[in-house]
Amino acid sequence: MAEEKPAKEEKVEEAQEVKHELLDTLKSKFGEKILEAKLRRPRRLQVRIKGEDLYPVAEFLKNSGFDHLSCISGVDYEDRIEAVYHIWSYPRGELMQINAELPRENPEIASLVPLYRAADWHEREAYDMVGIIFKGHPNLKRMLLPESFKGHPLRKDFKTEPMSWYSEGEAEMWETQVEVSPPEEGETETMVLNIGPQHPSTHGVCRLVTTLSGETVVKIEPVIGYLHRGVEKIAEKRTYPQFLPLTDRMDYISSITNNLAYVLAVEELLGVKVPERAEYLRVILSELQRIANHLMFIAAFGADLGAWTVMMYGFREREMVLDLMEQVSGQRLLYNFLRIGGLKEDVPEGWVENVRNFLRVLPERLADYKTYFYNNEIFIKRCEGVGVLEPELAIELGVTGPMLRASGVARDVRKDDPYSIYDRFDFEVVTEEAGDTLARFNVRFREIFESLNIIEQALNDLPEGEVRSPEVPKVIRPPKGEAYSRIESPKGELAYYIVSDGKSPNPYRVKIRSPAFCNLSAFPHYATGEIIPDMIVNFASVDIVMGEIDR
Amino acid sequence: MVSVENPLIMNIIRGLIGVVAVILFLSLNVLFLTWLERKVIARIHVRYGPNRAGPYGLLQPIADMIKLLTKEDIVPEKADKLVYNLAPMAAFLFALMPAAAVGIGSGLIAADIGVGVLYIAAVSSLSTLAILMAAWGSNNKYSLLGGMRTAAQSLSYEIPLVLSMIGIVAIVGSLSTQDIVAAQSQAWFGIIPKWFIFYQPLAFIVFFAAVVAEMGRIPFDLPESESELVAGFHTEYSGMKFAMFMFAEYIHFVVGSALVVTLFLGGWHLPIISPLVENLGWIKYIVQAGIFVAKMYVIIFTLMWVRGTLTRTKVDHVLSFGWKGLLPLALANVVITGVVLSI
Repeated sequence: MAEEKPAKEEKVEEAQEVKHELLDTLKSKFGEKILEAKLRRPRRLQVRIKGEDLYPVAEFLKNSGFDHLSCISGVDYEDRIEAVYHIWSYPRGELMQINAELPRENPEIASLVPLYRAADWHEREAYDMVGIIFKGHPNLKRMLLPESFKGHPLRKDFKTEPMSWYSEGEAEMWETQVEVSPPEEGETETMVLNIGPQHPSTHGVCRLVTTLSGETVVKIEPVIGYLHRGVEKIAEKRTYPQFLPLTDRMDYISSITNNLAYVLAVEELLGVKVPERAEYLRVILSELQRIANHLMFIAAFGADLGAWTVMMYGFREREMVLDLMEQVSGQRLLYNFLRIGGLKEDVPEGWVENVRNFLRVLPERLADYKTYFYNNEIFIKRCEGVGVLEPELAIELGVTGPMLRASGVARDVRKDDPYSIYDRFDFEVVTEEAGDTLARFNVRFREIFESLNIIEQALNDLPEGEVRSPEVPKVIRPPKGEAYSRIESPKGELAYYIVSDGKSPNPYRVKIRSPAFCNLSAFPHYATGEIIPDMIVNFASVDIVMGEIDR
Repeated sequence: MVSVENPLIMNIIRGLIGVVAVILFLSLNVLFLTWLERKVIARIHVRYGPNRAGPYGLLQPIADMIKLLTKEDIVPEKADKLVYNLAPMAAFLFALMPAAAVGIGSGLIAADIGVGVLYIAAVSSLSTLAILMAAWGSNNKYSLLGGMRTAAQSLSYEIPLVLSMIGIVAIVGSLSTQDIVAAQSQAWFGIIPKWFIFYQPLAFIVFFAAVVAEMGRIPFDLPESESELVAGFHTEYSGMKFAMFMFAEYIHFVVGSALVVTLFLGGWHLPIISPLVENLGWIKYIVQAGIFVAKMYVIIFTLMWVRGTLTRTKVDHVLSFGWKGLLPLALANVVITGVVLSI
């Protein structure tokens, strides 16, 4: 994987040809079944098919190197329903978008779980929200909404009157029921422990239905949706700029990156070019945000290990980032600072100096962390070899971000699919080989230094000028189309899939591919078979924020 | 006045005074400790700690007490009521019991029993029973897991704890804590104290580690590790019952530290100062108690420091540490002491 990096430039050129070749192969292989195949922009392919042809096409794509199922979205087009699959190819560096058309009455489609295990939770969510039935899915039940919920809220004809989806006398059904199977012959009796939704280590309101044999974890089933606010539905009732503040509230630990992913998607729809200075400041802010997020991770990780000192230290250092953010945006948590076509305003005078000061101070402070963690045998012993996630499994489960890199897969959206101006900076994709909890901790810790490095480069090159594009119209009505913006958020691959119908000032559909959602779906696969304390550190090492998972 | 000469009544009065004194001494220390611990940990955490109630927040323990007294006492519907209600009292009682055989000055002891060390070892393991009662009585899975951990943990550290004291007992030739402290009263050249920490460094390490485990503090606070088991065995307790568990825990803290001082750090003896006050009547007792308490707080501070520095261990690591680390060390110490003494 290391030798691929220098060859990246040529690879894109080469890919132009391969791409056509692939689309041609698809056309020749499937003939009439491919309704449409096009190259939307470099690295973005699109294929339109009928729902019943999905499985063979997906199988073919998987065999041609499309190995990372990024997202599955359901879109209700009133005359039809589309299941939209975004599949990224790590070896080819391209994103394939499959629009599978389904009839509105009985939207049935083959489940992709046998091909991509990552499809599990995505399909459940699409079933929950849009009502697409995935044939062959092992566990097709609601993901974010309670079992007793009536209807599928992201259908266009869903009635949003209060309580129309709630029927009397079903209050006891409100809790998601989890079936418990009695022990088989010859097995010891197990105990089901509900960890969460209120538990100190679930980082919010995640519920882990854990089957225990003694202290050994036999089975974990995460139940999510306790923080579901229906953001994707709200998006359909808001104009494009109005939705922006809500993106802050997705991953509230790193709101700038959520802003960024959203505005990138809208800018792609509009075809707006962002001023240089705004691009640089976006990168600086994103990387500051990454540092803040990773410090928060270290703090929370410490708390889960019983190391409250580290938690306080993490918060103290994060405070410096929050101060910098407060200076630019006036806010300390939900900044809402990015705008479609640039930034809200330029950074205040002296801010750049403050950032440089921060770049100087932080590494000194982090030296203490190194002493604390790496000279602490208890810490090392608790994390080393715990919760090993194999690289192949990680890719198959759709794991991204630091968690994937901790398994030795050097994949970073900033490098593989550069957005904004990340291709101009020289930085290392931090990887660790072990794939255990310690590796996941190390990756995040080392990424802080890479972020500092990027910020320094960006500060050195920061140009003067406008921070907001004058091209952006007052009322934003993007032309008919779709956009899928992938960015490397601190937690992994964050993507906004936005559909515009070309007439309305509101997005027709917004689907958020949350990194923590996918990373959490991988958690049960590597955390079983260990004891409760291991499970807690494993869970902490996912770095989840429920606001982003439940949306 | 006749009754005063009656030895039985004298003993009863003396015993009662002892009980009251022990409870008073421990309670005052615990109240102060809750404040001190919060302050020390806060400073390590780069925080301020309590600073609203009274000067430097010194009245915070009283405020806490009032809060806990006025809290609703919740008994879970499916709890085993008898066991559930008895457990906090048992925990409190069992935590107090070893304190009777630990003195803070020559003669300043509630019960100078001949088998003091043996008695302490026996009753200190009783608190495990109280925790198991709470764990079982609560009818809560987190509590149960916490109780199971306590049982496993106590097995693995009680044996090294007892074995590490054998060396000292062999040297002194007595099980009485008074005799053990008296044996440490001398000093080389009048400056270097003849404390057992210098005679028995290995035993000190084992005893210290085991006693921290006994206290249930970080890094060995597994029975109530909040990030895993919410609050472990006392998850379901509120109000005064919870307060009694906390009280018991801090009493363990005080008594454990006092034991370390008694066995290894020369008790109330300090070179130079102790010989000076030897013949000063009641002043002697005040100075002795002062020295003892000061030493005790050195240990207490060290343990708070440890809490601020270390992370929690895993339950299987504690077990293997107890059985594979502490136990062989303690046994080796017994053998070495035996060989040296016989020479």
